Amino acid sequence: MSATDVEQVQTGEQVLPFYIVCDESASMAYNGGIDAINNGLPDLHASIASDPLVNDKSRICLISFSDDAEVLCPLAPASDIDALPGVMEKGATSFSAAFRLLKTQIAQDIAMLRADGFQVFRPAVFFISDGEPTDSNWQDSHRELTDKSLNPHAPNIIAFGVDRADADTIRQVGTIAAFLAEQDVNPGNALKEIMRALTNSIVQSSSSSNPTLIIPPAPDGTISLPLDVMDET
Amino acid sequence: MGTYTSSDSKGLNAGRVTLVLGAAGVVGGLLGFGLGEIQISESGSRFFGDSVNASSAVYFALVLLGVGAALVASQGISERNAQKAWATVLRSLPAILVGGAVAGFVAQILYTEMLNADEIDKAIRLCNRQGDYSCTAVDNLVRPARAIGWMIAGGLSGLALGVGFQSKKRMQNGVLGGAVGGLVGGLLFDSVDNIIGSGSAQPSRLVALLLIGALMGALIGLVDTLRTDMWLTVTSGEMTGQQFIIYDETTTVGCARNIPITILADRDVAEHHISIRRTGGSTTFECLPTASPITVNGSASSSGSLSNGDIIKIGNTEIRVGERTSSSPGTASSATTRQAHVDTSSRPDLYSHSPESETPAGAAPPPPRRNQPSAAPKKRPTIQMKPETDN
Amino acid sequence: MSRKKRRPKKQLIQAPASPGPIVIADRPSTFHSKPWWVSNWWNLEPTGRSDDVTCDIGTVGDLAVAAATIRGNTHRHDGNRCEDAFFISTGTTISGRSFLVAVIGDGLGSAKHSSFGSRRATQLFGNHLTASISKTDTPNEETVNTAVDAAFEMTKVKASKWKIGDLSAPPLSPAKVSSADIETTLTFAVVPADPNANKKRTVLIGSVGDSPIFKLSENKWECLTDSDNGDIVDSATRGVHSADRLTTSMVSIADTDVLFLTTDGIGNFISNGANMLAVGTYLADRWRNPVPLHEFINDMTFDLSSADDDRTAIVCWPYRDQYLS
Repeated sequence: MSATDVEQVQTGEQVLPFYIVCDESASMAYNGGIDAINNGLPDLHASIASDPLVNDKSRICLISFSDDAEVLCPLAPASDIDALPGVMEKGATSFSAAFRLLKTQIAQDIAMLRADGFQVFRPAVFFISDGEPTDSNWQDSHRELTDKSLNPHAPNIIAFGVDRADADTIRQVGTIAAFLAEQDVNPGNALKEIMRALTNSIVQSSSSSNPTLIIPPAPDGTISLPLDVMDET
Repeated sequence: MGTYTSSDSKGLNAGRVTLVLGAAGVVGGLLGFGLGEIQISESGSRFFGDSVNASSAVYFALVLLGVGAALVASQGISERNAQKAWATVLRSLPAILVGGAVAGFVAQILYTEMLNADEIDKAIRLCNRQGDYSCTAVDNLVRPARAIGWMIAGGLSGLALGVGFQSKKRMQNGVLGGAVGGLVGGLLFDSVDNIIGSGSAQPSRLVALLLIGALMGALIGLVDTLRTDMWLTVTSGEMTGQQFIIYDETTTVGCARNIPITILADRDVAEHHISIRRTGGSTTFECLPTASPITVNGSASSSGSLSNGDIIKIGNTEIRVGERTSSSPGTASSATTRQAHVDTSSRPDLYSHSPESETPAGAAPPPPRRNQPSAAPKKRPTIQMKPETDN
Repeated sequence: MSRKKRRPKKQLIQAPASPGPIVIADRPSTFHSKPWWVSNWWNLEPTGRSDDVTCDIGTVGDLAVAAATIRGNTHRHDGNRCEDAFFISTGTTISGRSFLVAVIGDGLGSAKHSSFGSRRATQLFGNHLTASISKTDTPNEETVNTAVDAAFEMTKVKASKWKIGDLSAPPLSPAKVSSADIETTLTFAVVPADPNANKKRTVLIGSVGDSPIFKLSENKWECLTDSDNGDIVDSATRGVHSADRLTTSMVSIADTDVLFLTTDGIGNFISNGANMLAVGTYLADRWRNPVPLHEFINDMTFDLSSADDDRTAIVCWPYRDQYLS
């Protein structure tokens, strides 16, 4: 068999992008959330990078938000990442900033992946927050992100709330699932379990021969919130 | 009590305090002029025209109503806290009106007593002979009396400011700054008239009152900053850069709009969140009932001590504590306060043997001090990923 | 964040450096970066019959047919059986005309017994359709469609009937297994095996689900079934037991064309809209003419990162005499 030089032809490799969006408000330091997330990142990385199928198919992006939102780690295969900037406590809790950044970042990433010849599955977002948003009109930017008639790249969002997060708010944020930590559970511990759950979700979703987002069961110490509308995956 | 300014530096922004109150004084002078004109009619005084002392009392009460209300409302307006502005004005109204009336009454009596009619006649004749139509000689006779009158008015107006904020220290500062401002303004009153040179007294009255208002406000602000020992600077959230001066022994911090230090745009701050207490050179805080603990330099706490450079976090809002010491940066002046002997740059830790850490015999041990926060900006941690292992 | 550098792309399809499959793209997938006997990623199905490779090759009439199923890397990694299946059968009408029935099934990942489901459905459908067409004299579109509908309905009914212990059947009684647990896609083609004077033949194709059919003409694959080519890939699909009927159509195949039925394990990497992808380009080049059995299997085991699903292909070369030399 001879090699064929076909540099202009795209491969069509399939990619499942995952965006992990973390609240960096000041209270996340007080309730142990920052530490739980930072400690969970190496395990997340190891679980993904060590699985030959998951690593090739998945891409991870880490985003943090407080007064504004920031991409800490651009979308990349886990095995390409040696070190990550961790999350740290900052200021307020602007959901709008997070959703606006997600919309532009996802569009950019998909465009880049498509230009590189990849086939892209619908992105999945894991949204983690420990409190109420300090901006009152975040629902507008959430809708602009998740409404498929407005955004063809609308991701599936699984929302996790701990500490002072409000159930209604978390339920509104999640489009296919939402989980809220139980009141008597230490927020730091709940976040540890949440990191584990989202790791398992990424691994199971990517290792399926027909990639589809696998919604994790409710992490220990959390309850699943029923959503009003279940979106298609 | 606290007053609002905005600053990027770690020290108190004294210039800003002075400027804000000075500007408020100008606005107040304008208001006071307008109100004062109610009393002035073509035939003399509109009210109590038969009694010079009473009509002066009314005039001063009206003028100081404008100046005093503007000075008192300035803090609430700067904080975009209309409720606070109204509440302090209403609280200070009686003091402003009574103080203004008393000031006018007393000032007129002094004015009358200090001025000798014969000497004034002599001065007028001299001006006529010399063709000095501005009659500086008369001004020089009148000037001291007018200055004393405005000094009393300024002092009482400043007192009303403190009454509005229910703060003893602000009363002291107000009396001092207001009196000095009034004195200077009163001394310049007649010179303004000469400079304006208008045929009507009204323009010169306006300018003079603007000047008196500005001087009173600025000097009250200056005295505030010179006599300030402690202030808070917001370093995160929507109020970043805002400063609050702590005036009194006990100061409440929260999101309620009628307390000395109001933290806005942070739902995690309780209405009355902490109480800061300054006694005998030390500062302590305590979380109030139903309020969640705060963090001090990263450690959660419901009560404890505070010192220069500490970073406290109430809700999601970070605040730096500033204290006037000999080594504190950016202080308005080198004026000493009762805290000046505390050298924060060599603040001992728990285990040093400096005199400050020794407990006097029989006294309770001082509260433990936390490590001072690093002055360097926070950096993100770098999380190393685990090395890949072969399966 | 620090990132490792990727090697620059040079050749898109290359022979493996060490014993292994043909590598599409600039580097092997992580799965194939180590030999199967070393990696711990290649696991057998504990209850037997992992079905790594199944292959049928032969001729009927003037058709040369090659069919194979290859277990996907996902099932190798998890130690599960291949869930794809194919069935090819031949028949003769009353008037003596030969034909080929080619059927492909892809068991849904959510179905617990999808391996059995795809195998059972393809066999039932293929057998019934062949038997029905064999009873006709001169099959036309109407008669063949009637046979298809009947075969489809019969398949839905009989697929849920088995006895415990039947070959490859679930170890549960049918009453305890829902149709969702044996769900599978179904794609078929009925191909006349006789040469035609105008060098074309009419083929009936049909499908339910996302297993496509392609035609190779002038070195380019043309998809004959519906496909969605938006920015976002949608992995949702339907199956035999949840559909009311198959979608069928008649297509014309020239003697110089090649007919190719496949599951999405290969189908997803053939083309993206009007553009051929690397795998499509490679297979178009390889399968322009019939190939020996071992090469056919080797072609199907190409290595491409993320192409981890089971793969099935039925390739049909009409007028095989043109390939004598």
